[in-house]
Amino acid sequence: MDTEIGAIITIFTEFYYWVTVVMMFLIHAGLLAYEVGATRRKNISQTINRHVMTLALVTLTWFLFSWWIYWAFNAGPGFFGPVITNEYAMAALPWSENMGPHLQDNISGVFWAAFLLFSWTAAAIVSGVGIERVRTGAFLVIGVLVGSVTWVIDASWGWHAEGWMVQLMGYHDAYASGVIHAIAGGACLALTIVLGPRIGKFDREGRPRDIPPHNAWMACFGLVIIYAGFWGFYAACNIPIINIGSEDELRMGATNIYLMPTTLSSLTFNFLMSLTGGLMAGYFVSRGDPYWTLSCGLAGIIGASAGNDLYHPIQALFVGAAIAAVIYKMHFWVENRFKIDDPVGACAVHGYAGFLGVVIAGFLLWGYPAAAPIDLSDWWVSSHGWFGTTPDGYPAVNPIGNFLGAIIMFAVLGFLPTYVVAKLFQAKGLLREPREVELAGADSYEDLDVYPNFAWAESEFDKIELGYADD
Amino acid sequence: MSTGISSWSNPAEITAIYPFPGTEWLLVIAGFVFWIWWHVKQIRDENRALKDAAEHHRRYGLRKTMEENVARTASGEAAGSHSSSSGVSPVHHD
Repeated sequence: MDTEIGAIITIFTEFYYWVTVVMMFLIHAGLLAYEVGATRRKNISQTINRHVMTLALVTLTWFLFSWWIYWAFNAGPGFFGPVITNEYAMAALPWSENMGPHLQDNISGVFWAAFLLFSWTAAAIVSGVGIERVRTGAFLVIGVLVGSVTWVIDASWGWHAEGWMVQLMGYHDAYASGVIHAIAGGACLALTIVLGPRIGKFDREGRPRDIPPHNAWMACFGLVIIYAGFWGFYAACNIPIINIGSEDELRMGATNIYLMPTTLSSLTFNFLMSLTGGLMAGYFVSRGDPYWTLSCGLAGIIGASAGNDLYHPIQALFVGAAIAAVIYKMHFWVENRFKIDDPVGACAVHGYAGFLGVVIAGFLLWGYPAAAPIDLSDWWVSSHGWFGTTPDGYPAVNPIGNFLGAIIMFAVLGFLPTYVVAKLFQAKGLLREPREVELAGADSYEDLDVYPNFAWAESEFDKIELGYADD
Repeated sequence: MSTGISSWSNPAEITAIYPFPGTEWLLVIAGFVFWIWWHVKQIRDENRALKDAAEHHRRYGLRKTMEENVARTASGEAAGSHSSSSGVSPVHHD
């Protein structure tokens, strides 16, 4: 802060990110309402505890090691690059003075918190697929795995201007279709496969039964709150004010997370248009089911997010609409074909939408500069842009890089680690609740009912489920 | 005596402002231990609570518990066939 303009920019940036953190809390208010709404009454308290404690544990571990991982693992490919030891990585070590109140460092804690809220989102997305059967203890470990380890590795690789996926493959994913949603969706798929369906979800012929949410209105309300929090998320993915000109010719503007130019206007246009596309498609494919219409709106944003820094609003609209329609169909096809019980549709809304969004961005933004090239002399490889460079020598965005990136996000860092850890818990008998507790409900042994004074109607599924009590 | 800062008169020279600067390593180790301890205790407590709950449902009758849950909630009472404070809550109350 050695000039007045420098001081104003620093204070503005600090406050800007601080506001995004507050806004992103809304995502978790919304996710909690969504998840609790989808849960049946007998499991609500357990669902609340599991969700909230995931956020607490991700926060602690984010402080202890994850923030450092983000800055230290940029070099590649994969884990074959040197561990970065620059000033940013050193400042992110948990014992660094910068990781605490410090009069010469105004911003570290605010950046740390903005990324922490991304981490909460990644972990909390996975929480929904396990409702009504996963043990809290097993889930909390998986939540830390996704929220504090795997997603931050992929962010270091593909969501940082100096990440190897950006420098070598031209990977582009401005608002985290892949780096948060595809990886969380991959983890959701792994967890629900290992867990298996809720008792009675499929009949003897393998046909899925509808297990209605205890409160569809609450789930819908939660989705709208998630939209509100998503604004904060989008804002936090941008650098709001920085010199995008040269040293000689100052030109202040915003950039995406790769320090490539965009505008706050771009994200505003495209957030709303991709939401609109998702809602319009969702309304038709779900035949007006409000839960799925709103979920498709979310899938529309998630699907277009990879390129929403640069798309035309009508492109964002159609990308959002197409992806929402496809993921809706995929959810039910996967459920029928593979007997996968995903109670909140998280594999589809986050995983499939995120994957497809990254792939589509590779085509639509083909040839755009991914990031400024950096010195790779101490890396294992030395050429930028394996799949193409721009005339200026920048690694170029391209379909192959983004397709491979989508696979890394969804399968390699999303599905595989969670599958392995879930299998380990399963082998020890610690993954799923005992059958009696699952049927009676986790809240029913203790007086944990959150609705003591409200009546409820017995649903058709409750009668079917009762039949399993005597098996 | 001061645990950290005793004067704000020269802010340009002041760095860390928390008490006991220099003990960061110790604090980080304590944080790690607290994190791992919490997971271990939570999993142990939950296992015990789930085992107790399953045993109770078997003894009392699973069907009966499920039917009573529906009946009680339909009549406006709190759900649950067991009124003690030890249950499926992740924190076990002995």
